Amino acid sequence: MNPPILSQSPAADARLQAPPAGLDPQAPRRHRFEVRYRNEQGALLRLLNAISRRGLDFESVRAEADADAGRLTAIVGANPKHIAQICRDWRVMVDVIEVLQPIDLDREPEQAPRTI
Amino acid sequence: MPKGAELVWRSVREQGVDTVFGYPGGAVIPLYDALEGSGVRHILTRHEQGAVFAAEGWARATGRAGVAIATSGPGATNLITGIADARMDSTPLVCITGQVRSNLIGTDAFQETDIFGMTLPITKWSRLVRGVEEIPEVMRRAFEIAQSGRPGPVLVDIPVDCLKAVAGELPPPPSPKTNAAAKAAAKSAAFPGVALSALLREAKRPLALVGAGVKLAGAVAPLRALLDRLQLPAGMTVHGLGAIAPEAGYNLGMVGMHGTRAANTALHETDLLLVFGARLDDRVTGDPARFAPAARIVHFEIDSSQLDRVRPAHLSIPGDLADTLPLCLEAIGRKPLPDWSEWRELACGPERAEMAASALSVPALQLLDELYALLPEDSYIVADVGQHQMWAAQRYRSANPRGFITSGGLGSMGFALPAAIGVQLARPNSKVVCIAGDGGIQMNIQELATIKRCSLPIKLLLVDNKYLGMVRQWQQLFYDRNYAETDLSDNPDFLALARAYGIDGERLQLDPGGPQGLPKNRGEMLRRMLDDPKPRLLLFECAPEANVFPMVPSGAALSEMLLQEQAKS
Repeated sequence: MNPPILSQSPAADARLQAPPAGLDPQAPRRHRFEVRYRNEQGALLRLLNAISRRGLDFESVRAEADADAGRLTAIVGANPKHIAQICRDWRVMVDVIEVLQPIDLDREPEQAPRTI
Repeated sequence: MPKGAELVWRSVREQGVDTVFGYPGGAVIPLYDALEGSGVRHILTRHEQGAVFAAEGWARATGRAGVAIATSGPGATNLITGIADARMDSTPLVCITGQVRSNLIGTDAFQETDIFGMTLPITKWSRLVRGVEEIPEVMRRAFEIAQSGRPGPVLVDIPVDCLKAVAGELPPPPSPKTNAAAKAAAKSAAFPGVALSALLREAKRPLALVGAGVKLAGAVAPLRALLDRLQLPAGMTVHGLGAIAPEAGYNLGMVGMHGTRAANTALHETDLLLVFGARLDDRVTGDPARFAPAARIVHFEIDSSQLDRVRPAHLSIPGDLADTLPLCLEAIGRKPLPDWSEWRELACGPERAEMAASALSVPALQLLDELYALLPEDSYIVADVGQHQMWAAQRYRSANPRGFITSGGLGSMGFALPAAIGVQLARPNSKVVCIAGDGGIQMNIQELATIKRCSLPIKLLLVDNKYLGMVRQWQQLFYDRNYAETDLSDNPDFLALARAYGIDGERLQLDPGGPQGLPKNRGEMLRRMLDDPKPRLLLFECAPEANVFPMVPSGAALSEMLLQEQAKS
């Protein structure tokens, strides 16, 4: 089952920014990001750049496309502030169709996708 | 059948653009070959950075996309600063670059560079054209994307063979799309009028902060109507200047690092901050954690990526301000609002005093006041980057919403002279005054040749302190006066330099015995400059160590701004 779509809701962003109780809010945690986009020139690189411009390292990246759209899945260690910023940046990109709720893999490892 | 180059010009004309800025080179020769008869006026600048800044100036004056053209390789890379500038300041811009022949791409051919890849992080959208038939649709989308939503730069990279090729049968143009459906959806979405009204009625010290988004949305009239109804203190970012009527009793002037004492103090004390089309960057907020510490924030913004970026908003209102401001006014209705007159007077009173008193202590401020007083309402000030920029912004009081143009987000020195060219071409009947410093002017001084060539009556006020003044000010205040590499005392003779380009001018020197430290005849000098039908330079030699105050040190809260008297002690 797909994770829920992250609506363009500041409340959703606020939830993203709030770290789990008792955790260092600045500590990076492994997250799985997923986004659907129109697979046109440069779209994938713009998506990846939103992560790399913040100095974050990719643990894994998977991109695939079908006739309708491309889908990017990336696993990245990021703190809550970065996560919210990345999702906001993605949502306003011209070729982005939807941004899915990132999954905290340190908390929910069973949902980790296979990596390539 | 038309060639690719002809399709480019046809597309530009179809978008209502009659003036473009560029610099030819090998990969765009076919484009220039097809220029004559296209109906497009091409302005030859003397550097591609001049072209892109001029296109920005044209765009900011008109609200429509500016067009800059460059060849492949170095021509294209010279556009990059302007593209980044347009991105930061939400300027609609279409950059057209030539590229090496399609079959040479990727071979490190002569003047080949991956401009498409280089500009991905700073463009809204870009395309490398792969066939001549793509050109009309790519160009149409380029303009549409540059001008829609939050405006910004796009790039179209066209291999030279596509420019030369003859188009076969072109695909039919797509059925015209309108964003009416999206707009209707936005309007029908529940506007949080009840919540907003409740916040307003609970507020004891509400304040409005106005940014560029109001102008970009064409929403200055509904903004003024709303502020007239609310009668609460209102400040502006540097790009918001001109949005609030200068005579309004609630006008606080500019906020931020060099904002007015009144505006920054009120921002620190407000308990409800209404933000209209401003992204709250660090030059506006100071330390974001201590920005408006007591305030609940209501953020109106078209670019949802800016919401909650710096500080979480209590109420976020995404959307076009042209839609949301009238809804806001409607939601407030006719019911009486709390009486904020005491707070308004407390907040705004110091601003009026500041406007009068501080002019007496810094000759540059006095000169700017006198310059502004001589200018008609529809004039344009195009300021470069540095101390003169902040002085010019601090004293700017005009009701022309697009009348103050500068590089705010990126802070690109060298912006003003070429941008003034674009503004003057877009507004040929208006006075255009370029205010630059002795550092920035030398970054694109070659564009004096463009001004002369096009007979543009641009007025150039050059504020010469023989330093990179703003950096020197930081060195003075925070680096123990270690003026490392900011001394420009070996500047060229600017008057002689201007004369070499065919532009006359004169020198205005400080006069310690004169009123406010200025010579008695400065009014005549200003009038001579403004009345001259030709371009003219007024070289103002200001005090080397004059500073801009107030100043919020980097990373400090707005309430910790340094004032002139504190800095002296």
